[in-house]
Amino acid sequence: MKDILTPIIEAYNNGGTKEELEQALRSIAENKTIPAPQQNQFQTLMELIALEASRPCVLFFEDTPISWFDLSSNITTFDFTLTSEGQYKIQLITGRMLWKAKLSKQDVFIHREEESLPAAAETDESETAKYQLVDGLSLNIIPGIDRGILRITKQ
Amino acid sequence: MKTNTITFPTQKTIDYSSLSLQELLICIVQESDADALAEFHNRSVFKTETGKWICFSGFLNTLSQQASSYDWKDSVVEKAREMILAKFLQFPDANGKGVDCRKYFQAVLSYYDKQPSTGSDIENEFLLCSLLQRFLCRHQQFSLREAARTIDVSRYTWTSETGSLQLLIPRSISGSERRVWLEKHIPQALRTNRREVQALIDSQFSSSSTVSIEGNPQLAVELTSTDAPAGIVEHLGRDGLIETLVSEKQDRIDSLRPAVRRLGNALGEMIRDIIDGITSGETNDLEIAKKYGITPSTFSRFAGSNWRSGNVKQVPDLWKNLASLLSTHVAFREAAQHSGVWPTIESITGGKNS
Repeated sequence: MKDILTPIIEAYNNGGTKEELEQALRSIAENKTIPAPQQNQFQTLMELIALEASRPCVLFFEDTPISWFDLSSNITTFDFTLTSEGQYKIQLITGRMLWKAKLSKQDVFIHREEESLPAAAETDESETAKYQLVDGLSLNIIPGIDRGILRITKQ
Repeated sequence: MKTNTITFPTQKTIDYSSLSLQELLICIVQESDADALAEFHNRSVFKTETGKWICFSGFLNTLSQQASSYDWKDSVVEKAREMILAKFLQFPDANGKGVDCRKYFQAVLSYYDKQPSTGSDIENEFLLCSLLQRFLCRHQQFSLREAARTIDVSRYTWTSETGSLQLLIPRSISGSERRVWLEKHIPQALRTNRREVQALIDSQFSSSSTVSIEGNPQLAVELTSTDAPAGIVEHLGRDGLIETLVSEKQDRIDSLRPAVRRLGNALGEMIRDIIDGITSGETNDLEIAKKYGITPSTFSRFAGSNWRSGNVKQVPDLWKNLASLLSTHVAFREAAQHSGVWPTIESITGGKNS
């Protein structure tokens, strides 16, 4: 633990600013002389911290959880494949519902009889259903040929 | 930080599932809303050590199992569990009598309102979850002591020259010893006042914190600065990492393993020794364990340098605690993300434990 704890403690003794802490963490990550067991401990410690700080949300289809995403991660866009029309909802892991909608076939799929069908990613933005959730989160339903996309975007 | 007044429709058209946790608790406290209480108990607002989110009753079971493994008698654990369930499940009866869950939820809401705003609806939700969890953990410790006190006593009629008094006396004092003890310790002037005599007995045999809280739950079980992220960050800025860790552990000493709890005020000194030993490169788990009179296995579970038991990861309590403390510091989280050491969470059903 010595090579892990010492830089972090010193960073806090020097004020604990983001810059100090970033430098301390980089020095640990880049220190190739740290023995493997300590490197594993550092990784475990960071996993515990990330788990504590995680803000998971769960996507349900017809009241069955089908996927999840973590709002605390660096990722700003989360895409989920929709293969059926029906009732979808998104809840915080704590159970608070952030969004719920009954999506129709037209919401999820592009009509097959149309010519020159666009790929889901190329669908005109105006054709997508848009919802505003809390904290500037936006949710788009982008219809596709065989499957649609439910896209969550962080501000 | 947040207004505590929310206007709800007078008719029952509320979609409780979409209410924030704060709104739910306000419904319970201000409207005595049983549907809001039911929704609260359906939500998974408590987080286990492995990162799994569970509901109130599930978390209380986890706490009860832990208490049993920490040497509390099963009868005391069960009694404490019943007491806590009532505190978070019951509204008073039509005459205003009985346990009132609104007082307990109000105590958490009041503390939450004093916290600086996180600026985020979702962060506020998780902040309130963590405060509720800390409040419940503190209530469990309190209820265990209360239960131990009420279970380990029996009625005794003390007849003296001033009359008879019905008293509750610890079972550890046998029948014949009771009269001797009372005559030796109760001043003549008090012997006609049952309440004062009982108070003297309680003060001799009980923890100083075993007081009835039905009148004022906030006074009996209080959240402290180490329960809230803002308090932790303030500690970190003022006292540094080690002293913040010491304060936090010392503040929660009641919930630690019995062998560590018995260290009392020496716990802080031991934590400082552990960290000094590590940073100076002279760490020796056995020496520190011996110095503080705890077994090597207890030390290993508390702050050992080996984080594996066979093929399974077993992070000692102190380091789990360090992780929890650092996770509350936004600057640390951002620094970890910017420096590329922030891992991706792979599971929300219990984290990566093996």
